[in-house]
Amino acid sequence: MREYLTLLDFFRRHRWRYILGVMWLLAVDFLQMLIPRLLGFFTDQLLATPVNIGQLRHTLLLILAIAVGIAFFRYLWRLYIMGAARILEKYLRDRLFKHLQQLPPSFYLRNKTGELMAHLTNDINAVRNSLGLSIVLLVDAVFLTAMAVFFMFTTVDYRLALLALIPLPFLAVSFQQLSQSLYHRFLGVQESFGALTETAQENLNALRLVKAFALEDVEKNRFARTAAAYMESNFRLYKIWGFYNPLILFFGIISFIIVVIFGGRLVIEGEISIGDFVAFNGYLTLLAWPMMAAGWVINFAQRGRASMERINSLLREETGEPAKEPCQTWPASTKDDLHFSNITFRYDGARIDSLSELSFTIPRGQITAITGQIGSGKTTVFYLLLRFFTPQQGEILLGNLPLDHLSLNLWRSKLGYLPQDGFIFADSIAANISFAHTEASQYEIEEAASLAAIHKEIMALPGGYEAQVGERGVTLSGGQQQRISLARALLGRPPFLLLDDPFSAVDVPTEERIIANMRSLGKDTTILISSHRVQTLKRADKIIVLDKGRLAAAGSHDELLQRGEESYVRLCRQQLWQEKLEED
Amino acid sequence: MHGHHYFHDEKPLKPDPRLLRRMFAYARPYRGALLLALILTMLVASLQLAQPYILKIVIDDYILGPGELSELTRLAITFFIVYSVGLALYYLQFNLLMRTGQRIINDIRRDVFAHLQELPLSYMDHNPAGRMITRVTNDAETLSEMYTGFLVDLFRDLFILTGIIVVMLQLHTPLALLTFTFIPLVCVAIIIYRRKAQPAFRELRRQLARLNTFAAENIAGIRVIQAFLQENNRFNRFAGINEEHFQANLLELKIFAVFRPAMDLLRSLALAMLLWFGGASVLAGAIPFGVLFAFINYVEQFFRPLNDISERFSIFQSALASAERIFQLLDEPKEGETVPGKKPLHKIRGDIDFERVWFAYEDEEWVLQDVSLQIKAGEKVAIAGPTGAGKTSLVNLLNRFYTANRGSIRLDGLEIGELDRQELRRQVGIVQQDIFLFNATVRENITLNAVNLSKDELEAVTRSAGSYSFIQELPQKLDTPVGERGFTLSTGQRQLLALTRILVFNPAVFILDEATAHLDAHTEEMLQQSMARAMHGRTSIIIAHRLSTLKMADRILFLRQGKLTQLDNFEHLLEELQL
Ligand SMILES: Nc1ncnc2c1ncn2[C@@H]1O[C@H](COP(=O)(O)OP(=O)(O)OP(=O)(O)O)[C@@H](O)[C@H]1O
Ligand SMILES: Nc1ncnc2c1ncn2[C@@H]1O[C@H](COP(=O)(O)OP(=O)(O)OP(=O)(O)O)[C@@H](O)[C@H]1O
Ligand SMILES: [Mg+2]
Ligand SMILES: [Mg+2]
Repeated sequence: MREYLTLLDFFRRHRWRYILGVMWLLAVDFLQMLIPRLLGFFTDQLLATPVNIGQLRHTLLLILAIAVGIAFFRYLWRLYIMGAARILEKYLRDRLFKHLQQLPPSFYLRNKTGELMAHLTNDINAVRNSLGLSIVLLVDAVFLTAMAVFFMFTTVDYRLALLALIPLPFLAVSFQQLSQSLYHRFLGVQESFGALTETAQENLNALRLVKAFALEDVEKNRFARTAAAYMESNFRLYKIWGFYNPLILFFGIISFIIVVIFGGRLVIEGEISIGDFVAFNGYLTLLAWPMMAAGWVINFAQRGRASMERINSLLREETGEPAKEPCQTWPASTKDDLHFSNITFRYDGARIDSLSELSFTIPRGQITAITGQIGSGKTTVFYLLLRFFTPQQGEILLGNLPLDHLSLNLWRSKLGYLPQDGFIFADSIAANISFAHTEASQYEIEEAASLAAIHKEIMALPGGYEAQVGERGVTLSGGQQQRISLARALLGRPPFLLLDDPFSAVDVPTEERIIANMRSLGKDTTILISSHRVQTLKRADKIIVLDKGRLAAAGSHDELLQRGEESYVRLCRQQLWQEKLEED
Repeated sequence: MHGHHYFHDEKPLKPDPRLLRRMFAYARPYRGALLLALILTMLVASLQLAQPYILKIVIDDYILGPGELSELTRLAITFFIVYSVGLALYYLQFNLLMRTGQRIINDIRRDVFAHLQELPLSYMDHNPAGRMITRVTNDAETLSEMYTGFLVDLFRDLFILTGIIVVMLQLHTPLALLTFTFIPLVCVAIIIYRRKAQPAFRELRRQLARLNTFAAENIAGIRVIQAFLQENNRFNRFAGINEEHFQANLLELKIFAVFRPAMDLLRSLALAMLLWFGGASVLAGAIPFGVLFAFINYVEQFFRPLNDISERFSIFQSALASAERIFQLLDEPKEGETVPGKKPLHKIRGDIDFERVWFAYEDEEWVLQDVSLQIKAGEKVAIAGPTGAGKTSLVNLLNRFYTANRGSIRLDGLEIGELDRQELRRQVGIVQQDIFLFNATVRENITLNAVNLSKDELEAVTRSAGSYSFIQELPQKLDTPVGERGFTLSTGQRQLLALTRILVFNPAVFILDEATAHLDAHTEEMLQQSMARAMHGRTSIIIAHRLSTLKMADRILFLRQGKLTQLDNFEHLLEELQL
């Protein structure tokens, strides 16, 4: 049960809820024991001669009063204990989500969306269940067992009690055995539920592709397989789970047989009375229920343990923040250039370096373009600048200051970033643009949109800025998505703009307008743009050409052409003919 | 905050009178198994009931009576054996029941999933994926308890109840009737509970779907969130939804916390009433005390199944709320329901004809206006135009992702609405503007598990798409997993795989929607040669912003604000572009 240590903090905070809850529960258990006694009184009073009606009425009212008390305490324990479990559910979900938010992109490369979603719902649910009803059952079980055993030993015959309880250790041992494999099977179930969620979630994201290639049947089969695997994992679970109740009854019946044979002999030999014999059997049947409850507790607890362990493994993931004491204030030397100094970087599990021994400078206040064939490492350069990943060798410097001496938040607050595949949230257009500056005024939002040359188009959309877009921006055209992402990066005028292929979905005239707009941002803004387009490159102050992660050339468009840099000319040759056309 | 209203809010759930019937319909194929499980349940229950009877025999015949002790041992052992067999049956019953429950859920799940595949894109545009995922996963899961924890037990409990009622009536009719006056009260309690709990459960399921939706989007957009330092803002929004979920949860808990003890209280009232009137009858000599005693026991027994049922009632309510959501989804109309008499499509030639097509995503917001376009078989046509002009929308009509509002679109002279939808899409191949890769190997992403290719064929096709060389550098070449959405590849590499894919599928009509936007000029140049070969004699529509790409076409059309114009030469195009 070490798994639950993660929640220690929670239990400490809510211990009174649990303590009081258990007290209400014990009160219910206790009051319940009174009812049979009172029924006995009632019987005696009823059969007595002469009958005292007043007494009878009195007993009856007492029974009713106790019933009301039971109902009230029942209400209370439910509220306290089950309520605590629901608070726990919320707490754990918040905590896990918060943690997930801090995890670096490398974590998300290893983990699938659907499976993480399953953790946030299904697993947390299982943990909640293990800490709600099962606590109630546990308390019940302990209380009733104690009572039953106590009465067996004290009121009847201790020898008979000892004999009758012989099966109990065996039951405990078999519970122990079963619960271990139950744990593993629960783990299997939760895992395959994760896989199921993952399949569904991926399919829904792929729906346009699925339809375009008429893959519906392929996908149905794929889903049928994961769904069947989930079903099978449940079947495996039932094989073990199914043993619990029969086992309890089995050991119960052994006790019963022992009591019948030996107890019967004791009665005949006059050691105990028939009444004792009957009472003893009563206690024995009383034991059956807490044992059943124990079975349920184990079941809940093992499921909860398995899920808790799955959640723990996520909570154990390191968040990206580096350990060293980073600089929290923006250094005075803000006019400094950015330097890549001898950077080598390889992604986890890749066979080749994505960047090798790469050194170049991004001059402050200028537009630097970065180009190269597909897969040459442009996006990786952006990722390193964003500090999504840490290079294995070399460092990035801001002037003389290694970038990782700045606190991550401070550095990122200076960046405006446009990912290559833009990412639009299912929200209003205004909210998407003011994503990083939720307090931005409508004027600022429109200004950013105008810089990205999308203002007019937004105004033309039904709903304008308040138009709500679909998940990942599906209700916008490709170029609209890209420019809204660009506006998002531009809002707040960050000193560093990292634009990863910002014009791939934009037509040339629009692109020219945007670049002119960006020029107007002036010398306070350092811009890094990756692009495949000559028109874009031509307008940059400096071009960095990458080839398989190495620096192939650097310089302005004209310089590079003059020098006849092969790596660059090859990337331009085809697009240059259109310039000729333009010039004609 | 205006954040949450984008999606068509979930339709208010109408009470579906057929809900239970529909739920039972899924159990129908398994009625044999369920019946068997029920029979086994009763067998086991009767064994348990036999235990007191055995005790009676022991006392009457052996302890008090003349029976031999050795006989007693034999009796005990016989009972032990019979009982053990009963327990084996119990084990079987449990497995049978639970498995059947899972099977039923599996059927439902598959139906929901299959239905999702057939929903029109316009539905998808307005309903977040997380909501639909929740239907397939969590909602279906909740339903499973309905079949395992409720259905069989319900029958068993009703059976026991009937038994007790019959016995009570036979024992003493007036007292029995007196006891039964509580049945209407129990019913009223249940009805009140249902009325109160149902909205809470609905709300709970709705919030769960929102949690899932938000989490999914958050995970997908994590890089943007982190780059813009929005972790806290996003967390606060998530916590807000989580809080609403919690409130619904708490409400449901409170309602149940009142309901359950209320049922107990009813039982105690019944008991007290019985004691009062029964006691009076005993005193009047109308009934012997034994009868009253038996009735006290029976009241206990009578309420036990009732309590069982009510304890499970929250499960039942929760399942109902999930079922509503599931069946509501299943009731969504499919995209172009297959009408009988759909024309099968043989290998098409590729004559495309748009005639006066008008199209809007939302009522009168025209995206395409009066577009007419004829493409002859084998012709290569490029479509240029500013962003947001409607290029993607235009081709999305051709493969029936959306349906035109007016005008007609014909393929080889046949109205596309009358063609088999899947067949049409198989023949009209498209490389979409947003690239999607599955979290699978390179090979699976190229063949989509729908085409079988030999090693040589794969090599040939990757070579001609220009993806061969980078695939060779991957750790396991074609068998390298590409990560979620192909995230371990560069964007250009992903696009090359999408292009490879269409060469593998080799459809009769090619549509390339900005299919080379992420390629560098050198890669594109090499690709164009093989594409030119592949497109030779094949109808092709090329959408591009880049002139170098447009160059591949025989003819260039210009789309601006939903209107199409024909251009004769590049000079014209350049003029247009410079506008
Ligand atoms: N699913 C949708 N629902 C509602 N509106 C949409 C949807 N998809 C696109 N639109 C709108 O329709 C118009 C045309 O979009 P479309 O994607 O066809 O443009 P496009 O010419 O392909 O542009 P781009 O070059 O930027 O890709 C845009 O204004 C867009 O916002
Ligand atoms: N997460 C990853 N794991 C392993 N390899 C990766 C990962 N991401 C990228 N790579 C590899 O690193 C190399 C550089 O990728 P990067 O995305 O930086 O290229 P790029 O220059 O941006 O290309 P493009 O022009 O296509 O966008 C590629 O070979 C790619 O396959
Ligand atoms: Mg890139
Ligand atoms: Mg488009």
